[in-house]
Amino acid sequence: MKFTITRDNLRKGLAAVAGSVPTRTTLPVLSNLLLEADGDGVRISGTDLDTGVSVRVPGEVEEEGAITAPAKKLQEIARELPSHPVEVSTRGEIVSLHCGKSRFRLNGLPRDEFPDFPTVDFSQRWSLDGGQLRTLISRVSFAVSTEETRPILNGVLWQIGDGEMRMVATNGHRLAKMSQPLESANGAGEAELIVHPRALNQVTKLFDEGDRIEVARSENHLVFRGEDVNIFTRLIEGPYPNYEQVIPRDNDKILVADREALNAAVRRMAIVASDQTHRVRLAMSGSTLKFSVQTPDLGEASEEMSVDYDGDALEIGFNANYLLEVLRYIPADEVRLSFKAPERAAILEPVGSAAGEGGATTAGAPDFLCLVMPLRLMD
Amino acid sequence: MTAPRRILHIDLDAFYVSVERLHDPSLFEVDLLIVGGDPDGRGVVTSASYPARKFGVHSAMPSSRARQLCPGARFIRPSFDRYREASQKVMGVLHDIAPVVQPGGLDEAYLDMTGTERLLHPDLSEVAKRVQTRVKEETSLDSSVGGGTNRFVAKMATNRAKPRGVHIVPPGQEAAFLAPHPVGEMHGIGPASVARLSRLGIRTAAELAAADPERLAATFGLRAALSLIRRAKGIDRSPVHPPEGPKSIGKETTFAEDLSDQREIRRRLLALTETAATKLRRKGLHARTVTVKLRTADWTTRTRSVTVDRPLRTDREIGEVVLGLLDGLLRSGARIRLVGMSLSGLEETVQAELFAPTENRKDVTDLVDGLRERFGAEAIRWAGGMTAPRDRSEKPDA
Repeated sequence: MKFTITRDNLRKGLAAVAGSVPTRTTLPVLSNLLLEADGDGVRISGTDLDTGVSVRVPGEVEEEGAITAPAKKLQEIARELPSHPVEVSTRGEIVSLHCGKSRFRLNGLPRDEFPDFPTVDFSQRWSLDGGQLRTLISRVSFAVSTEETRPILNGVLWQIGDGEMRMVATNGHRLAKMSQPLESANGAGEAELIVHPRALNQVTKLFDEGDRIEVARSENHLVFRGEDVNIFTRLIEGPYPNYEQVIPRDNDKILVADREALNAAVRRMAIVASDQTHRVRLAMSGSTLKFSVQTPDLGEASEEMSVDYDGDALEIGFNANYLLEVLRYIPADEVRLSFKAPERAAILEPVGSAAGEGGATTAGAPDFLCLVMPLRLMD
Repeated sequence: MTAPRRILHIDLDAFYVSVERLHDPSLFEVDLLIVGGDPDGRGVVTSASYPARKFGVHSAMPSSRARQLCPGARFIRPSFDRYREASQKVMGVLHDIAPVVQPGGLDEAYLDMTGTERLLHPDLSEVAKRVQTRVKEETSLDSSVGGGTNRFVAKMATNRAKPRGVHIVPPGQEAAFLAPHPVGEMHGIGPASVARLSRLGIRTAAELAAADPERLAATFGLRAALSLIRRAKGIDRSPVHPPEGPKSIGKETTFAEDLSDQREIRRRLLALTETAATKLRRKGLHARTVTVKLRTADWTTRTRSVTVDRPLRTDREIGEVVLGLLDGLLRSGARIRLVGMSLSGLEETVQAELFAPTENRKDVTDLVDGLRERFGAEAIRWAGGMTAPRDRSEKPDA
């Protein structure tokens, strides 16, 4: 194998796949990247077996071939190289890089040792707008669970339906849900996929607004295909819990507040909240929202703000972190909170539309909803 | 300089014996009365009447030994519900008089009377007498009251006051009051420390107060050494503060005979777990940490504990963790003398779940607690925790 590539294209290609290389692995070849040279140019791929990224970068191929080489060292070298074309060649399992007057020889591993990416049939596929997909992911995937006890909640539920697609994520304590209208799903029909957020983060990193993304699935895998980029991921096996069932329909106590002001107040209260429970107490009555925090052995804090509140007086406790996360991702300047009772889920939703949000094609308020379960106040 | 504090310590005289006598007045006729476990088994003495104490009987002594020392004594089994009830009454009276009350067990409490000079009486011994009289009037229980400028001195003064007396150490007299006390009588100094002090030639509080800190530090460490000297001089800055919530809830039991049947051991431990879990729920708490304790026939004690992500509440949730821990501790064939378990990392607040798989279980738990509340702990149990007739030598709460 022998090809020449500009330093910047090499850097770009390596940066794109770097995120898919596992930091620790028992399979040495996974610390390597697969370099392939053929008639179309140069392809660089990396995987941790659960997700994989493969990018095509322009390069002048002199001799076709493939090899794997240590990802971290390739990246470090590319970062330090002068701005000259880089000649990459192999002899046996040795990879050589020549750039200006610098020469590197790295021990590689043969191509055969690198796992094959799954083959997925693209005759049935969805064709999606990069911007829409990015919006959904960036608003929802924060809510996934990071605990290993319920693997299903480690994934984002992605529902593709007739004229609409939706993402849902939850850790069992708080939940985010967002929908986007879909002009054309191009034939692959309706689907419910549970996708690891690592793959979705790659999507937001490697696809831009305006990009067309084609998505197809096999039994166990999902592939996002762009012009030069492929992202593969192993699907998490369902079923996903019935989230529709836990979204309250009868929350009748409504509070509307400025998102930034609410966020700032919760942040202040959180300073004195318990390190374990992060509990803050909210008391609403009339047009006043009163926050309070008491933490034994530490101290207490309280704050009042004027809000638009419609409903009977209510006291409810929350994990401040959950409130702050949700407030950070709500795509509007004003937020609407609705409650039923101190032990029932609260709903947080954006009010009106915010400029530049909800994808390029939507009008009005983005269809975004968060649930936060309270901390029961025992005293 | 601020005015000295006015601290009282009240100790109910032969509390358990007195409560038993109030419950069954015929016992007033019995001079030699010992409340405690079975002298034929492994029970220990909970409390003894003053005449019985003259024979050398004291609490925590094996009941069998107590019978050797005082063969004529009548033994009765303790009934802790009765003691708890009586104690609550006493604490109610104390709360009525004192601004700050810190119970130190069922039968004693510290009272901070600072600032009550005009409200009650400028003379602390008058205040002490009033406390004593009111407790006697309202609960029929005798008590001894000690007083001074701090908790330690007040507690030591109570010993001097016993029984039914009052002893107040005036401000400035603390060291002089303590001086003649043998170090072994100083509250907080155990037999091991007494032996170490004795090797250094220190036998009384006066000698301890005058000891060279560096010499003591070589044996006890600097911190402990300084603390010992401070105590002996009658200095104690610790505040009287109202009790906090419990730090742990636990139960343990010593078997009448060592057990090696693993299923039986499991069963006993589950029964303890139910009791502790019921108590946990009654206090409106949840637990994050579960500990299991095992003592084998040769007195080797091993504990194992685990802290879980989600706070535990139901018998079943806790039981599963307890059994898991037990499996890690039990060696097949081992003869087990004692099992115990405790719940700690207690929390009042609980994160509600969106998808609550335990909702049904929670209802069952509430139902079970309701039944136990009405008909007693034995009314309903998990089948796995069912035992043959209750072990008669079970020790009370650890």
